[in-house]
Amino acid sequence: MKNASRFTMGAIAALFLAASPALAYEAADVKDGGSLSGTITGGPGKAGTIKVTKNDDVCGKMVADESSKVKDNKIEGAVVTIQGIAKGKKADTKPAVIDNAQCVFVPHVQAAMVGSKIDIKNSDPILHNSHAYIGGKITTFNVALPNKGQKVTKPLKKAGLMNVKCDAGHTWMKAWIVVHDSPYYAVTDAKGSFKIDNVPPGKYKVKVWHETLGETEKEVTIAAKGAAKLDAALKK
Amino acid sequence: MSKKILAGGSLGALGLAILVSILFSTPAHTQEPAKKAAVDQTATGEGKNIYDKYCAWCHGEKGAGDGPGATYQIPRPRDFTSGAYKFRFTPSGDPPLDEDIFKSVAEGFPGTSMPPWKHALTEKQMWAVTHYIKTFSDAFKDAKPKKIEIAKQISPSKESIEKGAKLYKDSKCWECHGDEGRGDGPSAKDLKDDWGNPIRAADLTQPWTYRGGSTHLDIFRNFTTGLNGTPMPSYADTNSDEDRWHLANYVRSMAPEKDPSVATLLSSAPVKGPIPDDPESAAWKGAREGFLPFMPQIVEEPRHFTPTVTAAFVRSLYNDDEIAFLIRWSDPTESKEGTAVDAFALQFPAREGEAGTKPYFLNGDEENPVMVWLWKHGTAGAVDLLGKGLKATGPNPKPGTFTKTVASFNKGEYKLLVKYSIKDRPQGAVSFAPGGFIPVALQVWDGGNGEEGSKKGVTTWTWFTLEKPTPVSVYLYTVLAVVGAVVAQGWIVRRVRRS
Ligand SMILES: [Cu+2]
Repeated sequence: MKNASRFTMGAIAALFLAASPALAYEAADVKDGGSLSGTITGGPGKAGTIKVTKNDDVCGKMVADESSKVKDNKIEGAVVTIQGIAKGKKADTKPAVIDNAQCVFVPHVQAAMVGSKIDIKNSDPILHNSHAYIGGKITTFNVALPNKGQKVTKPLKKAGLMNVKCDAGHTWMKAWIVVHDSPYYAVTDAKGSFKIDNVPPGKYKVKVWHETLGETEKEVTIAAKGAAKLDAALKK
Repeated sequence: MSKKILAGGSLGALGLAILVSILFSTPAHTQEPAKKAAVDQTATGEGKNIYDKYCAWCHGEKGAGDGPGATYQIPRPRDFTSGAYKFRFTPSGDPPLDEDIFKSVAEGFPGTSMPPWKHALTEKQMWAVTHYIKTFSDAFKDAKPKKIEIAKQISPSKESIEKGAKLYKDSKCWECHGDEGRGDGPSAKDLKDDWGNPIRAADLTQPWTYRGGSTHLDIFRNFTTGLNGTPMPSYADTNSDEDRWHLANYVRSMAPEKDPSVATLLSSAPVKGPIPDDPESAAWKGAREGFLPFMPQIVEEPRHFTPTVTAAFVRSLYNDDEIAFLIRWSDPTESKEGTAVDAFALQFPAREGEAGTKPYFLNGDEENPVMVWLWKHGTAGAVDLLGKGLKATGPNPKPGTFTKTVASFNKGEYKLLVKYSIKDRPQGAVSFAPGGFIPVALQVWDGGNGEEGSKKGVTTWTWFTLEKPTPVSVYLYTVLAVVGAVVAQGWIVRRVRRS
């Protein structure tokens, strides 16, 4: 009786695990994969600096404000994600990286796949305290990195928008990690452009998000071996 | 006494009683998790009934920590919808074990409004409510929280504590908790919890205020898991198991082994010759120290629900000419400029004839005024005020003389020494006669927390006495008594032998 109930519990747990989003994605060979590329535009940008109020001997007096990097109307650091792909190319097995360097998070914005890992590093000889939230307010990890050269690896367990702050008095330190349910994501470069390849042919919803300049959703059709274009303008 | 005053007084006394009972209830010691009872795990079962009846008032119908009883609670009741729990045996960012929630329900949290429910509910009922609480958050849906491993405990030897002290420095614990642990570190100012509310770094010298218990294991666990929902991070990946035990041993050593008990009587000891100004002098070190916790001033507008300073430690010495008080308290920020400065006040009845009665505890009233000795940081010294109510306190028309005020702020601790001249006291003022009993009450302001005017921490009255100098006759009587006893004994022994 006891064993039977234990077995049932195990089966239920297994079901639960199978249904959890981390394991929902299936890696497979992509036949006739197409690509999606384009440019994200919008603005206005802001090329400001933020005053450093603590540890300025290490951080410098000012750090760059990376919250809206725009050049010629082209947005850097927008995240493009293709929605609803449950089976496709193999995800990158290397952990994502976020470094505390000169009192800013590097990179400021990135995307990663749910179920993968992230290395949180400290390149500064001072305390940083990387505190990550998912969905704006729920702590997903909170690790102290008191010394230079330290590295902590944490799993990215849930899909969603993560923001990272530093609780060591560096109120200006901010970073964003879009944790996506498939490896079909990209972050725009300094020219506002992105490219996602090896996409199974089909019709998809595509989300474009930027931390301060807004977000939008578009529909695209990617033909077999095709090269689809998506240019989107963000509005606040 | 008017009705209002009575109401205010009893409300204050009630508040203090509650505060004291909260502060000094048995702390929630970490222990082996209770065995799970078989219960109905559905949302509509017994758990919901119990929750709606006992928990919803504070934690809200939907578990968002927003019940009607939550309004003035500091800390706020837990919001169960995010699944973030501070005290758990699971890694940083993970939801708690069922046993963790059960323990919180059963043991409550010292220093908060959360009582231990084990006295009111059965184990089965507590398990039912544990399962019901979990239904408020999605965090439990796809999570299988795993218990962290507790490495073998390292005993708190001198060597281990020394190692811990070095780790406290290297791991930058002081950034928030301060060099001596009083929550006064350089990063302590801007701390916020997950809900955006300001939050203070724990004063490690006052373990009776640790919410999650103050055993070595409790502290080790907090280093390992971090406190979800707060800035306290996990050190599991940057400090080894042994290091975290050394740290726990060091942190626990910052505080007295036994929590102080609330003083019911403060006393002043007589000294021959001048009273020393140096708090480190032998006379002061030898003086008995009384511990008095503060409660928020919530009786009169503007009220203040979140005073910083939790308690003061009071010592007193006197001679024929002067009476002196040496008071110390923790305050994470030093504020001496602007409108809100750090301050401290002692209250006594204003008139000698009423020295044996307790006036209204918030600065007295028209019938029973009080003498308020107010020290404000950044001023020349203490001043003597006359209080006839919180809004009717001003300069004493016949002020007494303070012969000395010495204040210091060091690593999150104030030390204030005030000397009042008994000899030059105004006519009719309290005489501080040895042997008598005088009520005393304290008030404190943390300028860094915006405390000024009626926004402050307060105590109700406590009796204060000046110990009589031991007269020579006492020694004589003692000697006579001893000699007498010996003689009597000898006589009895002889009689017994004879018979
Ligand atoms: Cu930092």
